[in-house]
Amino acid sequence: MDKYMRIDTNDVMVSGTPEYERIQRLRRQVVSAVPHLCFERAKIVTDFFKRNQNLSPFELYTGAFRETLSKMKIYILPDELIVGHQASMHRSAPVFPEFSVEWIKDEIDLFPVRKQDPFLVAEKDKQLFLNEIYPFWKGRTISDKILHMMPEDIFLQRFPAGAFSLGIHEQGGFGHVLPDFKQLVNCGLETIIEECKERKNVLKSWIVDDLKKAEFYDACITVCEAIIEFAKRYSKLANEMAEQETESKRRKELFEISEICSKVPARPAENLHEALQAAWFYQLTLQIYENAVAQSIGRVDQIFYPYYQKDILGKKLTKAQAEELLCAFFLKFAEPLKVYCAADCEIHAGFPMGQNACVGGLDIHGCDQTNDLSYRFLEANRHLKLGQPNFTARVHKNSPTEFLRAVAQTIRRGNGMPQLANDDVFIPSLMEIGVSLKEARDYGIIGCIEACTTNAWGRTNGGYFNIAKYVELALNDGKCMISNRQVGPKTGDASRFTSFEQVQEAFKVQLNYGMRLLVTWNNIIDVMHERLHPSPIVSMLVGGCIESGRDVTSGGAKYNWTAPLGVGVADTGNSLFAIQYAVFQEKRYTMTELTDALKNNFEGYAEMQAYLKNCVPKYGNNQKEVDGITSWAMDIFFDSMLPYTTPRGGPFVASLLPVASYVSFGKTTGALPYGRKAGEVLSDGISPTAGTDTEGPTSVFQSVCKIDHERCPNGVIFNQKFVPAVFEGRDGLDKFVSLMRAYIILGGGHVQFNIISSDILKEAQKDPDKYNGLVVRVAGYSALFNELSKEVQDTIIKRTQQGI
Amino acid sequence: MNISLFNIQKYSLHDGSGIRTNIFFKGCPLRCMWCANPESQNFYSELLWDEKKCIGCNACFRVCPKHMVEPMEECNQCLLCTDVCCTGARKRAGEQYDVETVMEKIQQDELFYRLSGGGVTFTGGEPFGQPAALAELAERVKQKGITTAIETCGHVKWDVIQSMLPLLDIILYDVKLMDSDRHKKYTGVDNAQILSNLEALARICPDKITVRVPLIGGVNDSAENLKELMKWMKKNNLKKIDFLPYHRMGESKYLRLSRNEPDKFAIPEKCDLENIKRNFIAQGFHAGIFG
Repeated sequence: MDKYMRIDTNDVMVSGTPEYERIQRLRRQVVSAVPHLCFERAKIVTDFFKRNQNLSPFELYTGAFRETLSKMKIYILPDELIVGHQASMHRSAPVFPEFSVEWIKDEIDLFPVRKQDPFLVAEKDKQLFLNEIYPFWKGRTISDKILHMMPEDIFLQRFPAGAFSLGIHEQGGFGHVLPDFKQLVNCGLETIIEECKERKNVLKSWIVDDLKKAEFYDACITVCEAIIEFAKRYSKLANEMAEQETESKRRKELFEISEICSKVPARPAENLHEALQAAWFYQLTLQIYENAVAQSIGRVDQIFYPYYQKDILGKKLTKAQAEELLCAFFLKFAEPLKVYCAADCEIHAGFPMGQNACVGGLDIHGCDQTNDLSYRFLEANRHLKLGQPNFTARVHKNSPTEFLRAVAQTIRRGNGMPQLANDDVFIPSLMEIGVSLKEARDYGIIGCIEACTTNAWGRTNGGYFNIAKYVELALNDGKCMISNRQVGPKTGDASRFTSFEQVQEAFKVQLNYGMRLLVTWNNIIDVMHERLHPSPIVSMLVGGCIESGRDVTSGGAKYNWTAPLGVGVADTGNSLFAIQYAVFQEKRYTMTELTDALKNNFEGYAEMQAYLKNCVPKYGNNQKEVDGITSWAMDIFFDSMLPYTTPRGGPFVASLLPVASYVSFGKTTGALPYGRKAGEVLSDGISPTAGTDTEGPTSVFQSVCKIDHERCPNGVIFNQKFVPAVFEGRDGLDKFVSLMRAYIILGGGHVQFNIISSDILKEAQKDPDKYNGLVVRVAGYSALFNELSKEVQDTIIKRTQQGI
Repeated sequence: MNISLFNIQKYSLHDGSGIRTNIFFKGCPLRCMWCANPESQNFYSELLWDEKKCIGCNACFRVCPKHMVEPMEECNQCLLCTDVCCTGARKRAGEQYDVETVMEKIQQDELFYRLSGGGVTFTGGEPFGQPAALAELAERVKQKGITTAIETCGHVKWDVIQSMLPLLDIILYDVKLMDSDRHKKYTGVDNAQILSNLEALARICPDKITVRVPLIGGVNDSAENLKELMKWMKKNNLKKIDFLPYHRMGESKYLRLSRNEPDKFAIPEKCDLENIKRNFIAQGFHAGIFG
C-alpha cells in the first residue's frame, strides 16, 4: 500500500495552517449563531395543505416537502465547504404545524425567555403564526388526532402519575433511524428513482396491494426529485456567488461547490467532497421532512473510506485538506435544531439532535476494521468539540490499543466524546432479537446509544418508562403518591406485607401493568403515524421497503421492533434493597413505619431517612446483594415486554436510557425507600445514584455490568465523570485505556466519560459568557453547558468526581 | 489473623504502576508535623466526628457511657456511638479486618490489575508496623499472582523488612530529611534506622526502590537537603525518586479527630518543583512529581 495510506494517529491538520484556521472560523460562526424559530416552512406547508385538501397523506407530505425545498430560502455562509441549511436563519429551528400547534400557541411568548433551549421569535412571525397558521391547524394536527385516541388508563399513568412519557412521538415524527448512507452516496438518488419506476412498471393496477405500492413508489420518486432539485438550487446559488466573488480562492471553491451540487446526491459520488455533500443533503432534507431527531449516519469511517483513500492516493487531497472537509462536514451536524415544548425540553435538554456517527469496530467478517479515516474523524472531534454529531467509538475486546489511546486522547480534550459502544455486547444482543450475524456486525448507533441496522425501523424511542415509579405504586397499592389517584392495579396494602417476596411480586404486577399500557400506547401511535404521516424519505433508504413496496410506518423494513427506555435503575435497585435490608433482614423498621415515612415524605422521620441513606449498601459499590436486586429488577423490566409485538410485526426490545428524563421523572416520583425525597432527580442511566458510589470506578464498572447489557440491544447509558488529572501524561492515558478495556471485557454496553472538574462547571454557571463553547455530556449526548437549565447543570456538577 | 486498617482504596493511580488497590494500615511510628492522614498515626481505632453531618437525633448520646454530646477531652474512644450513628457524623477511623475479607476486596479488581500492570499497595500508616498480618496478607496476594508494592517510612527493624522482601515487588521508601536532628524535630524520630535500612535494601534490590520525598516548604526543600539526598542516593545506587508536594487538604481531619490544628508549612511553588525535578533528571535520576 502507498505510504500515504498509513495510519496517522496524530493530528494532520495542525493549528496555524489555513485549513485549521478556516475550521475555527466556521466553528465560531456556528456557536455564535442565535437560535430563532423559523416559520417559513410552516407557512409553505400550511399554504400547500390549504390548496390540496383532496390529496392522500403520501401525496400531501411529499408534495409539501417538494414545495418547501423549492421555495425555502437558501444561502451559503462564508467559508462553507459543505452547504445546506435547515431554516431561513442560521442554526434555527423550523416549525412543523402539521404535528401540533397548541403548545406553540400557548408558549409563543415564552420561547425567548424560557430557561431551557430558548428561541427568538420575530414579531411578524408571531402574528403570522397566530393569524394564518394556527387557525388552519387547530384541532386537525397529527397530535390532536393521536391524543384523541388516548384511553383513560393510559392517560392516568402518562399524565398525572408521570410513569411514562411518549411526548416525543405524540407531538413529532419518528426519526430514530439509520438510513443506508452507503447506498445513497455510492448509487445516488437517480438509481432509487429508476428502481422505483421499474418496480412500479410490473405492478398490476387491479390488485389492491399493488395500488398501495404504486402510491409508495410515486412518493419515493417525488421525494428523490425534490432533493435533487434542492441540490440544483444550491448549485445555481454557488455559481452566482462565484461569479461575484473577488477573492480567487473562494471563487474557485464556490465553482467547485456548484459543480458538486449539480451532481450529487442525484448521481454517484466520485470523491470525498462529493460523498460528504451528498450525505449532508440527505441528512438535512430528512430533518426538513420529518419533525424528528436521531436520524443517524452510522459508520462514517466505513461509508467514506473508499473516497478518502482514492483522493489521498490519487493526490487529489492532502490529509490536511481531507481533514478540513471532514470538519466542515461534522460542523453541519451542529446546525439543525428541533424545538420542543417546555416540558419536553427538560427531557431533551440542550438540543440533542441525536445524529449519531460512529467509527471503529468489527466488519461483517468479524475483523477489526479501524482505518486511517477512523483516526481522522477522532481528530475532527478534537478540533470541533461540539455536541453534534453525537459521536461514538465502536470497540471490542481486541480493539487496537493505538485506537483506544486515540479515543482516550479525544475524550481527554473534554467534550465527553466519543462515547464507547461495545461490539461484544451489541452484536449478540442484536442477534438475540433476530438480526443475522453479518448484519449485526455492521450495526450503527442511533440517537444516544441505540444499536440498529440499516434495514430496521427500530422505533428506538418507544417512550421513557419510569421503573422507579412502580416501586412507589407497589408500596401504595397502585395509588400515585404525587397525584393521589389510583393509576395502577390494587396490589395490596404494603404496610401489611410480611415478606420481601410480597414486595417483589407487587412491584412486578405494577410494572407489568404499566408496560402493557406503554406498549398499547406505542402501538396506537404506530397505527396513527401509518395512517397520517408516512415517511417515504426514510423508507427509500431502509432495507426492505423498496423491495416490499411498503413504507417504514407500514412495516416495510426487514426488522420492526419498538424500544421502551427504562429510567431510574439505581433508584429501583436501591429502593428494593433498602426494604429487604432495613425491614426484613435487619428488622430495624416495620413495613408500616416505612410506608408511613414515605407517605409523609420523611417529614418527621429524619433518623430513618439518614439510616436508609447512609447505612444501607447502595448499588454501584460492587456489593453483591444490592447489585443483585438491581439486576433482578431490570430482568423484570426486560421480561415485561416479551409478550408483545409491534403492529409492524416485530418485538419490543429493551434499553436503559434516560436522555435527561431522570430530572422530570424525578418530579413525578414520590419518596423512595432508600432515603430519596419526593421530587428529587432520579439516577442517570445505569449509573449509581449521585454521591453513593464510594468505592471508585472499578467498583462502579463491575456493578453496572451485573445488569445484563446483552438484553438491551437498544442500549444502556452509563455516564462517568473524570477529572482531567486521571488522564495526565502517557502513563495516565494508558491507565485510562486499561480501564476502558476492562469495561469492555466486563460486558459493559456503553460508557461515556465527562472529563471536567466541577469547579470549572461551577465557574461556568456563574460566568456563562466566559465558557461559551463549553460542552458537557448530559446523558447519551453532549450539549453546550450554557444551554442547559440550572437544574440540569446542578445534576451534572453533582455527579461523583472519580479522580483522586 | 486480624489487620487494623483505616481504608481500602481501589482505583489508586499514584502509588506504584497501573491501577492498584491501596491497603492503608493503621498506626505509624512517626509523627510528621505535616501528616495529611492524621487518622493513620495511632495504632488504636479513633472517633472521627463531622459536625456538619449531624442531624441531632441524639442516638450517640443515648449509648455513650459518659453521656457526652461533645466528643472532647473526656472521650475514652469506646466508639459505641459510631455503631448507632446513621448520618456518618460519627465514624470510626480504624477497623479490624480479617485477611479473608481484605483478600475478597483485593480480588474484586483483579481484571484491572492485569490489564494495567497494577496490583496491591500496602501503605498507611506503616504497614511494617503490623509485621505478622502484613506477611500473611502479602503471601496470599502473591499466591493469587497479583503484584505487590509497599510504601514505608523505613523506621522499622531491619529483620522485619528483610523477611518480607521476597513478597514485595515495588518499594516506595520515604526519605524526609537528611539531617538527623531536624528529622527528629519534625517527625519525632531520628533518621539513623531509616537510612541504614535503605542502604541495606539498596544493596539487595536497588531496582525495586523508588525514594519518595514529601516536599515540605521550609523544611526539606532547601538546596542543601536536596543536594545531600542526591549525593546519598548516588552513593547507594538508587535511581528513582518521586516528590510529593505538601498540601493542607488533611487539615479538617485533625479537627474531626478532636485534635489541635496542625502547624502550617509553606506549599512549594510549582516552578520550584519543576526546578527540583529537572535538577534530579539532569543528574541521571528518574524523577517525578505527584499530587
